[in-house]
Amino acid sequence: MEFEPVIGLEIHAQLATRSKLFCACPTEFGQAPNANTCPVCLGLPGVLPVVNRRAVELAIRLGLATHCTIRLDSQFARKNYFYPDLPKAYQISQYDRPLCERGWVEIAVAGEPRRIGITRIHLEEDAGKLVHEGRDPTASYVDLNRAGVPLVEIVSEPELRSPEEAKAYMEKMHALVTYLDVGRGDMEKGNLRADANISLRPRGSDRLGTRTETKNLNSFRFVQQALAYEIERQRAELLAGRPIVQETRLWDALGKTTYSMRSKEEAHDYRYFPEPDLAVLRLEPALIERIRAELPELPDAKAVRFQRDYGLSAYDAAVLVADRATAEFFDATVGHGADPKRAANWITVELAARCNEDRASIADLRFGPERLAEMIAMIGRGEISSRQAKTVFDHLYATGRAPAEIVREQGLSQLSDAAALEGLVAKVLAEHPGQVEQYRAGKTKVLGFFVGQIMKATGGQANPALLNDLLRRKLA
Amino acid sequence: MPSPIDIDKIALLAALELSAEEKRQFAGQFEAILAYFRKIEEVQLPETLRPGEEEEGPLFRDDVARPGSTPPESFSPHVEDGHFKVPRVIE
Ligand SMILES: [Zn+2]
Repeated sequence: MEFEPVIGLEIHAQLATRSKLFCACPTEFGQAPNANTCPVCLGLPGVLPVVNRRAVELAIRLGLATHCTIRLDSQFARKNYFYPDLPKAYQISQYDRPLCERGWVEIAVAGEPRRIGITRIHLEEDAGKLVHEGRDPTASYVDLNRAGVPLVEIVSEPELRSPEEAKAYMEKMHALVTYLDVGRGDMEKGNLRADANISLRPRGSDRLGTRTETKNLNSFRFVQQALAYEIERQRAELLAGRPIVQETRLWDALGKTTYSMRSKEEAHDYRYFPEPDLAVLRLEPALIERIRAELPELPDAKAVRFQRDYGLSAYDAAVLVADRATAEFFDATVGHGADPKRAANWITVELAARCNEDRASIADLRFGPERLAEMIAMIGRGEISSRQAKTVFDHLYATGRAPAEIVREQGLSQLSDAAALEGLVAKVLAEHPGQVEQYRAGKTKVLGFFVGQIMKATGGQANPALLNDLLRRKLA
Repeated sequence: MPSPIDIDKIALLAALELSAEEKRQFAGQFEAILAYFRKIEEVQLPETLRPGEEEEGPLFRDDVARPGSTPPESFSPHVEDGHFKVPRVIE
């Protein structure tokens, strides 16, 4: 039987605020355990939450960018469960009246654009962090620095049909979050993580199968790999006539498998009810319109502009805009006068390959867009060949020094081309027959004289090693 | 009338182990509390006075951070290396 996967993602993104969602504790990462806590986020009795205005505005920004309807009367709700990472024994989230609803984003897999529905985007607070590797093997250790940090949960419709689409969707959401400055999107710090729901059904059927949820996937690759694994696992179960168990699973990145999450976390009955400590979140339409007016250029619009103004291919444009820093680097390189197609090529091929190797990002580069523009201009003026430019680029990437300096130092100008130098060598030798005579008579020190003459003629641009080699051969 | 209180489920969700005597006692207390709610529900309120629907807008804070104010040692005896120490929650 042929099966069709039905996939939905819930993405949690940390909002880029200075303080927590309901108290003034800092959201800063990497503090001593429990340093960023106060009676509110510790859930001590007698305290009241107060909503962070910035967090609400950032969530609205994301909602507008994903074509959602923004509720003018959304409501916070308590999600009740017992776990030591949740000091109040409830999480303040949103339930039946989320801030943003019914939006969509467009993704493209293999050039096929598809619109994926967004069910809702709501605000909620993060839980704390549990450490199980402490001194006492019978204990778990709780750090509540993250408790109360503002998150948006972005829930997609179950409209994704392959692990590749799920990956593309998550990449799109990451791009939006970072373009909008809604969050920092630092995946390694867990700033953006996904829970992936998946079930299989016979192709063509409109009934939904039993689904599993794989939690806490913090990279695009993990989302794709975990879903591919779940498809195979569920297919094997179904073909063997075994039912799928509805459960929460975790991804083992080393073993490349998912496994059932066994914890003492109890049955999921969250008993949501409206948060009595917070009033309905009433918003003025004028606020929504102000936020809409301030939206920056988003990835899709940027890709259209790159194709229209710079003549890039749809593919190159899509690669460039997928990452905000890369898109801005490209824009700035062109702004410094570089030929757009050459710039796109250097950035998407050479630069991307090196960043990939070093697991580095544009923010880590030792050079700015003006340096790349300088190098591209040198190619354009014929001062260096494309082949030499690769060497220049290696040095640029490693040291961040000016391309002209690198060319001079490494003797990489066009005068490294044997053909160009050969003519010059022949000319100088013809002009100084006496010295040629001396050399051939055994006075090899005269070689320095010829080198000096040629360096003078080329303004020091000749490649010394190549020059020495040429001279020796011509004089032999 | 059968009791609307499923005390076993409530105990499970609250992660509490209750004796038969406690179950009887607490179920009775829950029923008494619910009886009050039923009384309150009988009161006819104008539509505009539904709870949580007050007319005034929400109180917002500006996004200003202040250093954390509650060192864990100051109120919990179960602190190790700055972490709260709890019974292990995974196998
Ligand atoms: Zn706090």
